[in-house]
Amino acid sequence: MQTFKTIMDTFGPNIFVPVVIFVICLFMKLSAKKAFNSAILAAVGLVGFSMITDYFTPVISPVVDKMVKIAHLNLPVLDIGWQATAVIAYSTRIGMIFIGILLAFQIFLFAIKWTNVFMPSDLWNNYSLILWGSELYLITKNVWLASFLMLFGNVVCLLYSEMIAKRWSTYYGYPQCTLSAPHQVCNVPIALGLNYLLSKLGADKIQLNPEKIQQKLGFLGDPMIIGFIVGMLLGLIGNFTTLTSIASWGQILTTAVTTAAVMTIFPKVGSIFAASFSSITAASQKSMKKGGREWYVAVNDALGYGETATLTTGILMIPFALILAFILPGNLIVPVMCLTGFAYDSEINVALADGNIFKALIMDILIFAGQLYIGSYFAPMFTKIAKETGVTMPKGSLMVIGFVAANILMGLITIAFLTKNPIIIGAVVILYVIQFVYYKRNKRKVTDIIEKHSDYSNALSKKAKVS
Amino acid sequence: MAKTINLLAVCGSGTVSSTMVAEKASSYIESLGYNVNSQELNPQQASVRIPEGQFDLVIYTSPIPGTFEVPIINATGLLTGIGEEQVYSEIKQALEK
Repeated sequence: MQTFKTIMDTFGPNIFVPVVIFVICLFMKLSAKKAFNSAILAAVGLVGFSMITDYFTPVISPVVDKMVKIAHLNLPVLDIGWQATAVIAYSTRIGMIFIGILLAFQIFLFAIKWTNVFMPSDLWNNYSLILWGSELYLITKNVWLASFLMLFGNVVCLLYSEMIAKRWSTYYGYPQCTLSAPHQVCNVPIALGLNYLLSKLGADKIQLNPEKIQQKLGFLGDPMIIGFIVGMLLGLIGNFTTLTSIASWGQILTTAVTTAAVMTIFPKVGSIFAASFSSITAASQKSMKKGGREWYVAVNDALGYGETATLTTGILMIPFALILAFILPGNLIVPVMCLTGFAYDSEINVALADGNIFKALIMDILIFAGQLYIGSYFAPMFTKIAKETGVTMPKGSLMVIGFVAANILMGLITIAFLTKNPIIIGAVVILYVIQFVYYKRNKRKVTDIIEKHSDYSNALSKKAKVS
Repeated sequence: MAKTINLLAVCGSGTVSSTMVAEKASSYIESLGYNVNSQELNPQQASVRIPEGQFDLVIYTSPIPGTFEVPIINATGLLTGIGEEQVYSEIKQALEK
């Protein structure tokens, strides 16, 4: 363990992550050339990521600092978005080792027919599980408990992934595909409950036209525009009392263009880093065996993103997210990078609401409110692992979070594990086992109930759907 | 000198799945004897940039709002590994036009 620590400290994630990727590639029987290419892509992505945070942190942190001190808004936690969250998760001490373990575990679970979802084909989104394990490891220093949390989280995800498979693939029109991204499917139980409740309250009667809203507000979906607007907004709030001074305007506009730049460039860097996973993902798909059963292939949540009702719900979420963050007592997070990603988080809600964007939006808002609290709770831990991976952090009290690290269900499970109390952890596991056994025995019934509660023959959205 | 194809790949944010399909499509197009210049964007950026006319071919894993003149191919098959061949033949057809 000591040697391992020395190696990690000496080389750091920029070296260690590519090495592990190289080894996994060889293990998946890829050529040395492809393995080397994947490894270098990871390294380039990681270095690019540091370049951006090194530049962005000194610009944004004084503004957030001013917001806290001058405007008395206690929002010291900066949302750095899912791409950064993924890079951090993969750079933690146990992160890269775990991607290998999870990959093997998921192929195994599919082979023994524990699940009918082939999860390795969305390998990338495993960062979500690694994150919780890394936080638990950081606090408890117990590598076994952290491993158990990740594997347990994985089977929980698979259960909900199976439950939502029929609905998601039907609504989005991708036969045999489903989501397995932990930060999405862990919302399934909450979304099912909300969907039922909102129907009872009559939310199905209100219909909005997503196409018209999309045409008017579509520009908000461009990360560059939203980055500029939000940077400007934060700058204005921070300099609220000194709006007559030239220096204030310098800071406001600098923050606006820098945030716009970061939000535009970050997906590019993320894309370089993600490219290092594509060969492994493609290789893992060779172990998809059909075996004559009904099965689903896990896909990236990008597949539903552009559907009109989904995209529109995601855009409508932007102002609500900002308002919630500013008014909810006890929230510490200022949402920035998450603002262009709400369409991802809307997918399960939109599918369950069968394209009713009014209902999906309410579900989005309620879930996001919960995430603000989970995220506020986990921000200190997340910030610590971010520092461990070498993210430039300013002096002072500024913290960071990504909303993937604010998932309600995974957050609650992790809180249970953090107690280290075997009774509490045992209770959580039993709760899962009960659901698992019930679902496996009444699979058809559960699927039918979900379909029944999601079928409103919503002519409007059906017409607007892009195939 | 081989003809250069300007390829645009579109997914939710132009990060993960667009990169994966762009990689596969690029190596296929290169195997047909073209050079490839590929770029990744999100759907909203794509609906602004496609009409500017700089792309020869668009592939996507996430639908793009609007209608366009450039050939647009659903490349989900390249991501899932199911129906890859069909995506390739659609790409080939589009390039031959």
